[in-house]
Amino acid sequence: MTGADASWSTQQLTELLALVSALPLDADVAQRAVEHTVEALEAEVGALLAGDEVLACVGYARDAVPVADLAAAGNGTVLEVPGVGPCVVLTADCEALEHGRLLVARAGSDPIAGQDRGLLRGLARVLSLALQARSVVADERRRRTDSENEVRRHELLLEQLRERQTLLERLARVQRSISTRRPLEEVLNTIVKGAAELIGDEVVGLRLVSADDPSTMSLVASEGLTPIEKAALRHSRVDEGIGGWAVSAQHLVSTDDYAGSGHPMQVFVENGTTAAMAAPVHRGDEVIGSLVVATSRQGRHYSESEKDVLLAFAEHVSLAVNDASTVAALRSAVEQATYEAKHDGLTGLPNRSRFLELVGESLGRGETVGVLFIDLDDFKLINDTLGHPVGDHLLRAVARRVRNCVRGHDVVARLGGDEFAVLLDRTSHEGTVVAAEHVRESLLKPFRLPGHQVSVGASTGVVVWPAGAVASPEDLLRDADVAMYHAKAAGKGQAVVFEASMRSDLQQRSKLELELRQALDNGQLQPHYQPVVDVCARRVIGAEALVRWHHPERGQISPGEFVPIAEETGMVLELGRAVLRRACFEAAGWQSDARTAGMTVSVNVSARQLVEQGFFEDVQAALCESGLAPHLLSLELTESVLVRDLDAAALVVQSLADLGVRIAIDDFGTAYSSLSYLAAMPITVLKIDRAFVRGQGLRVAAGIESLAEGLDLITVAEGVENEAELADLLALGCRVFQGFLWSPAVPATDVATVVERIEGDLAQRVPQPRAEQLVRVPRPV
Amino acid sequence: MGLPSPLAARWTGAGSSGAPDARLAGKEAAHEALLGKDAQLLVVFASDAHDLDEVLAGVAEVAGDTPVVGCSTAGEIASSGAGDRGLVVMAFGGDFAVATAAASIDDLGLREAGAAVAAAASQVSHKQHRVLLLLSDGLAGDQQEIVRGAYSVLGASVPLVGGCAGDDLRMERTSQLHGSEVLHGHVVAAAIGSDAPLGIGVEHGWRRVGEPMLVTDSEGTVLRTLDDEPALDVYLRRLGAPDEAYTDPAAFTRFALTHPLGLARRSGEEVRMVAEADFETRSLSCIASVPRGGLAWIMEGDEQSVLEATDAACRSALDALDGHTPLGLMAFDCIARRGVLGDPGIVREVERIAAHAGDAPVSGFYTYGEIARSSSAGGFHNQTLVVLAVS
Repeated sequence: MTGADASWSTQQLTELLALVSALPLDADVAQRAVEHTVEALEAEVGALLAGDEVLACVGYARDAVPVADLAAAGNGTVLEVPGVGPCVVLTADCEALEHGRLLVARAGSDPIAGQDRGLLRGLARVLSLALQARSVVADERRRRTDSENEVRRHELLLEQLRERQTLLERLARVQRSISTRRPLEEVLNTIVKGAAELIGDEVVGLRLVSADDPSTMSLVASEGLTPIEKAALRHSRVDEGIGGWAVSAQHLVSTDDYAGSGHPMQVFVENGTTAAMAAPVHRGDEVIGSLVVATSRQGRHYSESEKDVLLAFAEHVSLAVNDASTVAALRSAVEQATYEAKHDGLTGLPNRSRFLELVGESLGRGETVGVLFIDLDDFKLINDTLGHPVGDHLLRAVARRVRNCVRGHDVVARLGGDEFAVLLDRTSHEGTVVAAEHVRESLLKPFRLPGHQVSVGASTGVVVWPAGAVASPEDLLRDADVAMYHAKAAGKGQAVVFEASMRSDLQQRSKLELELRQALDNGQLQPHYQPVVDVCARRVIGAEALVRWHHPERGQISPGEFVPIAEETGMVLELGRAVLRRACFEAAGWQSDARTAGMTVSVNVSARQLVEQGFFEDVQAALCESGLAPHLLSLELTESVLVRDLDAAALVVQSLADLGVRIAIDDFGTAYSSLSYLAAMPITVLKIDRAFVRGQGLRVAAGIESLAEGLDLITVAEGVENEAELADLLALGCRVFQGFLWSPAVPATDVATVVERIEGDLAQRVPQPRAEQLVRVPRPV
Repeated sequence: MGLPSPLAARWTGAGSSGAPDARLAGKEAAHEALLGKDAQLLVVFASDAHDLDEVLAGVAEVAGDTPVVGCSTAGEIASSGAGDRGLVVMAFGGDFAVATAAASIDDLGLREAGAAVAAAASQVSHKQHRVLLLLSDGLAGDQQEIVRGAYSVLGASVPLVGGCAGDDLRMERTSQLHGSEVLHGHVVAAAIGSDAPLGIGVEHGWRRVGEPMLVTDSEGTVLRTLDDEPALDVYLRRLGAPDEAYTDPAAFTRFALTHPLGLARRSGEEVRMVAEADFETRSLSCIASVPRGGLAWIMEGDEQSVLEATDAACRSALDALDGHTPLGLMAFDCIARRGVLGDPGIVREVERIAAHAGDAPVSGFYTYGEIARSSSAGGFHNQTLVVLAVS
């Protein structure tokens, strides 16, 4: 059998385990397992026996199973099978059953190879494990009460079964590519490590009988041995120790009392070994060594499942020593598993724990260490609106870009979600800042992904630790994190260098987060309303709802401070819903007051809220319950709705417009919107961002004004603070305004009086609207 | 129809018809196969372009209540050549022992249906050499289960041979014929017993290409991921499939026809036809199960390798006759092989089969899957040629 075919054996074990694990409890596991075994070994006949009883059989006509012959058959027996002729029998013990064995018989012309024996043994082990686990589960269901120990034992069994499957699956991955041939010892080392992990004892050793001198054994691989212990085992007698016991007994042996076991090795007794077990390793039918585990923990007792696991590992060793290429493959498998434990699956970058390890190593070398903490802006939005596959592509692309911004030996890691980190060692303060700037700029450029072009940007926190400073990697990362939050608060796409004062800021922030949660629950967050004024019509035509937080101790907290926190934590959705409802109820109330009748209310809606499940229903419910007519509600959407390919948003917007709700685009002019979307969406109003109401910005306002006129949209200029600005905007053709010139946002209770005041003011200062001007009051805002 | 004389020599006959009228086609083909004699069994392979009830009625007009088994096809094979939309009838007469059965897969499940029809073999147990001919609905699930079901009843003592009914590549619904009934979702079987050996040859002619892939996620016959990536994408990419195959089900099926997967086995591999793709979930469906954790290779073939396999399968079947003169050959040839051969190629294939058969009649059809279990494991094959030789 060639190398590649030899590794097929472990594949069969995985298949059997997968097959049996998937069967329902009442399925005929024995029959299925025997069929699989027969097919795996290309045998004519297969059977599972317990004592003299045939539990399952394949290959004989249903009513012609020669029970006695099968029960009496052992390795090498020849069975005469009707339709086939003489077949040679091979059996392997199945410990889960009393005198259990798994048997196959193959046509005489096809000789049974050593690998087949190993495979049959492996299959019998797997079946044994599976039968045990299944009977345990079935028992559990029948039992009414369990002592704690029993329950724990059951759980351990099932856990072992799961772990076993994981390991088998890892071994099966091997078959994908067998590229490098490693020395046998290296591979055995990795098997031994695996045994140590799965069984949990501190010491594992693999002893094999020397080829030249069968009365001695050599220590071929080990884990957890002290130099003295290793020396003792390097060349020892074949009958020494627990390992020697297994070799002479030719079966698994174990002891809970090492010193009193009758087979102790002095050096281990002295080192406090309390318990040990060993399983024989085979080449063909010959026992050529043993796999031993040992511990110095008190009260250690080896469970049946642990024994099975050791037997299975010993089986793997057996398979391995039979063919070097299998072994080489096993090595890659364990390497692969180790790699996977330290790297992020999606991007292949080191994961968080590996990153911290590397930072620790750098710090340990006493170098100047720089760390960048990179958090993508708006990633969740992209993931939610464009789907996870696009999100995954973006993360990989970001990983590549960041990698390209740093030096070859710098480490780029993915910490999870949309967070990345960079470790720059042997760097300088300046070098780190320059690198951060590169990364920042690079990530601002749009990404061309399959089917989409997205802009994301990132907030970066930068920390530089001077050479020789004492710190833990976690501290460093935390400081970088804090700096990153400052970067986020400063607006998106920024990089901020950490300062010591920021630490207290972080504490403040956490406190604020908690308080925000409470505020939301206690109703401390209330919308205030800023009037929207049609100067030419001399009327306040509506008001924009702006959420305000009145903190019991700190007074008014600006939205700029708490909205980012709300967004980070997801509270923003709940907040938005609450504001929407409140605003609808408030506005409904305005209709029955002569001073405020006919006024609309505008509510801000982020793109994220818009595409959130249930948003449309929320709007409907708010309108229904408050009794507010839909055309008196205006939803102000951020311009990003028009920037990205947000089909989901378009659908919702259309449904809302169909309902009668008005749609406005907020802060217009600040993003790179698509005019085709603008023309295609059922939008009523463009709100000109405050940046464009003065100075050079007026030129943009002029452009927006013409655009609006062309598309038959109304403009509202925000943030107008003085008469001069007003005059400039009026000259451009703008008629509807919002800003401190008239009123800041005020509490609900003050709205009516403020409206009265403004309108009174306007009546005095602004001439009567002329008929043609009145015509240009087409719809409420 | 009288009882056959115990000394009546065994014979087979094959007939085909390209008549467009179903009943007429049935009559013509049956007539040609029987040439006036009474038979023990008629096996009918017919395209479902015909009204199969009418076909059976035509056959019955000529053959009376002679037991009939058969199925719909994706092309027919006859001594006169391969054809489409046609009809082939093979008759077994003289001292063959015959028993037929049918079982519903829908009602009994795959395994039990296989077991149920296998019972027919007991009725021919007085003959030294027996074979169970199975014709099943290839679209009804994991065909290997049918084989296991039959095997659980018969053991290794009765070889199994046969194929899965086709429907001219539409992959919608196939038909199985039993007596005068046209069935769907069934397994039909004919147990044939003879005093002289019956031979079975199985060859596929595909070879592995490139590196193996690991079946990282599969359930039953659905292959979800290979090497942790969506199976459909890996498959199409590895093969450099044409653009249409990525989106159009018909184009995919045509492409997949000649690009089966080979599942690693102890010696060699088991070839699996990729029947369908699910473009939503990016998964592949095969006609038999693809075990998780196993290795799979892309397989390729060309006319030469396919025809070499034809020769090998025929020789194998004939060798098993132990020197007896072949009386007839029945071929179950996978549509994938036909796909590789193309129309000119299948002419050459049938010529080769006929050459091996000498004077013996030849019949058969292009299947969605082949059944052949004469020794060791498995039993359900894809992309394979199975030849049954009777003597």
